[in-house]
Parts: sequence; structure tokens; C-alpha cells
Amino acid sequence: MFGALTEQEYERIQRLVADLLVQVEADAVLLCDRGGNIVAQECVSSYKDEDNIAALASGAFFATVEMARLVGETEFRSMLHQGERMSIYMEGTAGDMLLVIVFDKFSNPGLVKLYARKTSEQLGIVSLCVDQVGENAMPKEQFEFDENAQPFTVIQRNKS
Amino acid sequence: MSLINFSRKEITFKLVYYGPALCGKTTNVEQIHKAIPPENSGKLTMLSTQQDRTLYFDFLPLRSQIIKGYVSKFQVYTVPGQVIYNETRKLVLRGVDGLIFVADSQWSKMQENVESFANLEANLREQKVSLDAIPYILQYNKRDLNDVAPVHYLDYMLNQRAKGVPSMEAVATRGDGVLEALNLISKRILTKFIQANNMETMDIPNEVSVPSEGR
Repeated sequence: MFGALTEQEYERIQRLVADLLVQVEADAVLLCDRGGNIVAQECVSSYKDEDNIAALASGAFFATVEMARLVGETEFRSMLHQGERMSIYMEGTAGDMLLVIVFDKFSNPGLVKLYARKTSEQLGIVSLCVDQVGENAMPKEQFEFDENAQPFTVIQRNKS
Repeated sequence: MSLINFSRKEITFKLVYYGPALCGKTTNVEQIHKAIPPENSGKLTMLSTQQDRTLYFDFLPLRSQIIKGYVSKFQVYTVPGQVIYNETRKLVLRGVDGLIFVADSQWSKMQENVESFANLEANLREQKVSLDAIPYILQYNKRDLNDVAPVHYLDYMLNQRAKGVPSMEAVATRGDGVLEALNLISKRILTKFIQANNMETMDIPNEVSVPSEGR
């Protein structure tokens, strides 16, 4: 099974993610799914490792669902990991998505939380097309790959 | 679940290394990280205990230009093999697009291999997914050790589903069979993805023989 993000839907969520980055002066804002895949992202130019952050954040966040159940909650809506220099805030959004905000000590965690919740509401349910036909059909695109080519090759080391 | 982003021209796939404790899943990923050029490989994240056992998962993001006009992102995960971490394994399996089941070839590990394979099937079933619906291959690791079962026996124990799948020998500590397995599963994931997209069929060819692929 696969989901597809149309250009219109991507532009809508990308704009919200980019706005949030500016509003809270974050280093990175990621919207990812339960599997840890990044759906949209906006980072300051120096920021790297967003794939790793998304995978870890999604694992950590959705692992707490079981903890929540043990204390009689359906899930915990948000998580804050606060460090001396850098912090990460996570906010669950509708449709099992996760908003991850990486910010430094100059951003106010309270403000981050406030704006993240607002963005989460504006995001609503991210519309992923999973149908081939109908109103929610994904754009027609023929994907091709060379079956004789290898997806990954090794580093070519120079002989010395 | 693979995710297509038409704006960024990216397709993301999730690949999981599954298998019993200490079978070499993390070693596979470490070797991949060493072997693949940095422009196609991101940072390797390993969440281990003090004894170097995987506590949560290992994660390595890879990129390939194999699909024309798109960047194919393969998010590679390992699961913790130890029995007590089953909840974590379920979490890592969520949305999986392809699997490499790493079996420890030693005779003494056969029961653990079989239990781990049954655990994989059960965990997928809990997520309402059949193993038949997911491209996977078997990697028989540690072939350099003395007390190893022959490949046909491992096939008999682990490759007995209605559909046979490719199985490959490996010595992950030396990197033998590691990249071959990665390329093979990646192509099976891509084939399935393209077939599903083209709505021809959801099944992939029932391969049982593995082409020899040089490193």
C-alpha cells in the first residue's frame, strides 16, 4: 500500500510548517507519519539529520501510547524533551501524524507549545491519496526503473 | 506504507531487518553504512545497551536515483532481537514496505530462528498485514562459522510458505552478501511498488533463485 501527497496538499502543509518555523524561531519543523516518514519539513539551512530525528521522534512518541493506556489515557498528545541548549517538542496531529519541532534555548517552550497546537489544528487531517480513481485519486504517473541497475553501489576506493 | 511526494519528487520506503537476537542485523546495517558513498547514505543511529545489544532500533537513511526522475529514500531499520522487546518490534514494523529476515546459520540457533520468524508473522498479523503481501528475503548469516546448518536445511525450516522467496548466504562481519541482499530487497520493493501503481497486479514474481551479483 502507498500514499501520495499531491502538489496542492503538499503546498498547503508546507506553508503551515514553514510558518511555524518562523513563528517559534525553530531550527527544524518536521511533519512525519507513524512510520517515521517525513511528510513535510522546513529547516534552517545548517540543519541536518532530519530523517534520523523523525525516525526517533516517531518511535518515542508512539511508544508512549502504551504508557498512556496503562494510566487510562488513549494517548499523550504532546512530549517535550528539554535540554540545556536544544529541545524537541512533539505534538500529535489528526490522522496519526506527528509534528516535531527542534528549537534552541532562545525559544520559549510555552510559545512553541502554543503555536504547535495552533498549527496542528490548522493542519487537520493531511490528505494522502491512496486511491487510483475517484475524487481522491492520485496523479497519474508512470514510474520506471532499470531492473538491471543496482539501487546501491559501493564506494569506489582509489588504488594506491 | 510507501509515501510519494510529487512536489519534492521523492518516494520513501521502509525496510526492516528482522531476526533473532545476535544474528547480525546491526552488523548488516553497519556494513551498509561503511560501504555506501556518503551522498547516498545518512547518519547511522544506533540505540544500544551498554553490552552493545540493540535496545530500541538502528536507523540508517539511504537515497537512490533508481526510479527515473525521483529520489528513492529507503529508511532502513533493525528491530531489537531480544524476546523482551516485542512491543518495540511491533512499532518498528509499522508501515513496513520490505523485510530482510536475517537467520543465524548455526545449528544451535535454529529454534531461535524459527521462533523469530513465527514472531514476525504474528506481529504482522496483529497489524492486519500478511507476510505474503510484503516483499521479503532470507539472509543466512554467519556462514564462516564451523557449526552451521546447510542452506537446504535452513530453507526447509524458514522458506516453507506457499510462496518461496530468495535466500542468500552471508558473512555480515566481512560484508559478504550484505549489499547483495540490500539491492535484491530494494528491487523487490520497487517492483511491487511499480506494479501496484500501475494496477497490473499486487503480486510480485515468485522468485526462488537468486542471480549472482558481484559487490
